[in-house]
Amino acid sequence: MKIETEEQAKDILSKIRWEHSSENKRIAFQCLEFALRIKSKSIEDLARINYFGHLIFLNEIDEALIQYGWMLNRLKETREIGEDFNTFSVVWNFKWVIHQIPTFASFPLDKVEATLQQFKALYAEYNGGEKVIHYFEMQLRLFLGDRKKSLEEYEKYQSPTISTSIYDDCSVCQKDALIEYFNHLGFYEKSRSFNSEVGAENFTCSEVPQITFPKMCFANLMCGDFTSAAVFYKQTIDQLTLKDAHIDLYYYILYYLGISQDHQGGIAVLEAQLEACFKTSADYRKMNFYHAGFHMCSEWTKQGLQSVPFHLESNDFVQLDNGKLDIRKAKEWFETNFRLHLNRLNTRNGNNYWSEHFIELEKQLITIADRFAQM
Amino acid sequence: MSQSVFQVNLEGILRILSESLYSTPQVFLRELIQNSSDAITARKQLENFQPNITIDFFENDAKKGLIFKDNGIGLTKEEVELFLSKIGASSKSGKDVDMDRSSYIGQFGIGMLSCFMISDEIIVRTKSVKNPQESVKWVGKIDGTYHTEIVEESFPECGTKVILTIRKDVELTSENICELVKEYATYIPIPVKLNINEVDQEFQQQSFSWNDQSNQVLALQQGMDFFRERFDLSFPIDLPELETYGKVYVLNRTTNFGERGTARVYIKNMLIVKENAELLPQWGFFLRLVINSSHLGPTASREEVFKNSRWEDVKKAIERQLKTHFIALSANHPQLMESIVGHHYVALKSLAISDSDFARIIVPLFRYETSQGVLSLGEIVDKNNTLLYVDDVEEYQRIAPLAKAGDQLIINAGYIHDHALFESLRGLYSNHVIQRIDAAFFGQSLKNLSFEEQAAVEIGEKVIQDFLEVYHCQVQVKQFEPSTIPAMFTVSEEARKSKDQENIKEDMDSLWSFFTESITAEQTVKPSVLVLNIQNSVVRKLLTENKHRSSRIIAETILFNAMMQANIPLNHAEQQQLNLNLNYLLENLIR
Repeated sequence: MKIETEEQAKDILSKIRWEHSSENKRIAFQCLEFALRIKSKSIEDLARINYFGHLIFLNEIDEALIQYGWMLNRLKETREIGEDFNTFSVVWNFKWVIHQIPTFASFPLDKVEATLQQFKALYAEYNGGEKVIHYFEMQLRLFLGDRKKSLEEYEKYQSPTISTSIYDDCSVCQKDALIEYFNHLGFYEKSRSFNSEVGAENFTCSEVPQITFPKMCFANLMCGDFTSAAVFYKQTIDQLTLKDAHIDLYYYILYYLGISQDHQGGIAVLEAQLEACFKTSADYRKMNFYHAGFHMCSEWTKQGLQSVPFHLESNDFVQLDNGKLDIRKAKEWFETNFRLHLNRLNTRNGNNYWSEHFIELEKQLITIADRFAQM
Repeated sequence: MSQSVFQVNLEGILRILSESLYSTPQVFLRELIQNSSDAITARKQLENFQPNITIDFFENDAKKGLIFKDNGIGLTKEEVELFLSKIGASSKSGKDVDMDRSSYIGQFGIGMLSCFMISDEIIVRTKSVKNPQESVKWVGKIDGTYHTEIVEESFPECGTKVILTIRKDVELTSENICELVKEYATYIPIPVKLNINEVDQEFQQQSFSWNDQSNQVLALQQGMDFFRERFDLSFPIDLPELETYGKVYVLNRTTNFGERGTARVYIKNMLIVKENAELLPQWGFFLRLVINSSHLGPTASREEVFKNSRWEDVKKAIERQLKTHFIALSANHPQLMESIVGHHYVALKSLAISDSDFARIIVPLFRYETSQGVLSLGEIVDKNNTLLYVDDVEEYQRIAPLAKAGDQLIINAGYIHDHALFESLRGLYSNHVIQRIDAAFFGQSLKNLSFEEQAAVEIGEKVIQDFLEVYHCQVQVKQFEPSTIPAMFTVSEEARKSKDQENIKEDMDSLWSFFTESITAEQTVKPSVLVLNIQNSVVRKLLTENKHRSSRIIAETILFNAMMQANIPLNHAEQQQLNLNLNYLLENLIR
């Protein structure tokens, strides 16, 4: 696309603002480069916000975090001169950012805490209320392996007298986040209590329920309700686009596909999602995905599967043998890389919380797999 | 414990409902037409008769008024008490109706409220088919009061008459009334008579063009009436299982980026929405649709279609039918299809990406700018086993002269949807190699120097590499035409982003700089490359005579120029250095 004038750039940016796609992301970046070439601060502002929106939607977290750092600084700059720089958008998106920051083991604890303080200060400044703070702090503490503090924050979040604001996630997004939170704590029955609600017509916003289905699939699987798990798996496949990067969602499905012996489904997920794993340096996400991949391959190995046709552009995975993936090698690869990111996270956190979590999870998975096999 | 009843400020509620539910006061006429239509439907269930609706509009200097009359089923006194005096009780909802609810357009019991948007008083005179001995008069006022009475003088026939005195502040003229009646009543299968100050307006009703599929002239005329556009082509929408019929029109002009295809929706012959942007598929922005459906339902205001599973069914069925039409058109009328492709390639590319059956038919017709002229993809595929495409227009424009000079075919796939389309072509043309290239790739394919030539410039190349070390780019020496181009700067998408990230780090606080450093440290990015052209005389001199201060300046200037050609924004330091370099060179030139 050839961009020649400021008006043209503004027009393009307004048209692609809410139509998120890889193509539009590239267009937004082109508008940004145009703005930098002609040194237009106003177009740069528009282009970066736009570009950032696409990065979040496409789950390109690493790059989005970098752009956010610029946005935060720009908010401060413009505030000092009395201008508005997409204030609501910048403040709103800090929620997404604070959710991602602790997932990078390369970010030390003091920096994570400093970011949390920045988040609290910004929300205090913009009357963000208390609910949103506790909502994100409960998740952050769990990423840092502090289960006790996390549950304390959860209690505060639940308080009916807590102050709310326009910055709170919508009610269904909050329920979705709770389901994920319960899953991480191993409170699967609590997640399952949302079974009928998640299927209802009014349980919807721009991302929900499609991002909730894989979480419900996993929760039901872990409670031994294979029928409901299958239903939620089908809904995931129907409503989530497999080629969109969602390693934080599809890893739930890998557990299900391992136990249910759905080889075709599992390979499709790996082929579609592994590249996204390689692109990010978010240890927490990679750890979960690789563990799920390891578990899936373990189950398949137990079932006698030796190799499957496989295709991946990247060379970062197991070497293929004549277009086929050796399941045992894949299992080893996943285990090695899972432990790598697990150890990095534990080292950063200064505790073994996540190691203990996976030990417990693996015991439960063995029980569930046995139960499924006996059906 | 005594029970209380909610106190209702009727005037307040009427105001809220009128102002919030309906988008304009003029919808009252649609509501009256709908009520009459439903009343006639109800009477038809009981007996055969000749239905009619009469609308009389009076206007003089002092006042204006409207009398709306139908010979439908009418209302008994009990029904008047129940349905007119109780907001939310519809004659077409609940257990009071012993007829098929799906026959009615309205079901919410709030239509009459709309009349209060233009009048402070509604007078209803009605005689029911169920009790023809009784003539009932009901008067409702905006202050929330009403009274009902049996009138001694019998009304001449069964049906309902609504009498409205229009408020002075309401802007409603006879022209408005004619327009509104035309809009809402043209297609209802009930004769409608419109009188303005007792003069018959000869209002023409018609049936939808798809009721007579052979009449293409009528179809295109109706398309013009609906959408104020000329059309040369239309397709039927024929979904009997969903009780939905209509026409889709193909625009014969190019559409603008961001334009949406719109649909005009009738439900049971009543216009519900003039421009719905969600019924057509996203790729359908060069289409206009009109449908009449008995399967869809309206919202409470009857100004939109209710988005439930029926809506989804109809939407999906329409898309399926559209694809079938385009596939058939390609097979039976290829030239016409080529013309459509010429106008609407953007939309069709979008469709081709998601539908492989459609892609097989349409993709060979897409035309592309190439280094060997404009060619269709069909022509390109026939003559070449390898398709090299550039997915950025400016990048293509940089590389194209070099490709042309080297007699290489490269394709400009830098427009919207091209990248995704070419990615999907691998499935379609499995015997071809389809390769995305950029300047970096192209740079690799430029002609290398001979062993002797390479040896002669080796030291010079190293000196220039040292000069440019601080700019994090590699230097290569190749030879290519045209010789007027001293260098080509090739940079991967990742490297462009990396440069931007490096630049914005300066604008962050220390915490965020840390995060940026941490993230970028884990990235492996292919360095950008400055490919010097040995055919260029300045470069040749630079490679052999590079001991002077000016050599560094010239090398940097060549680099900055090549970067700007590649549309890479210079950062502040680079910009400053360029200015200094140009100053130095110009001073020396003047001397």
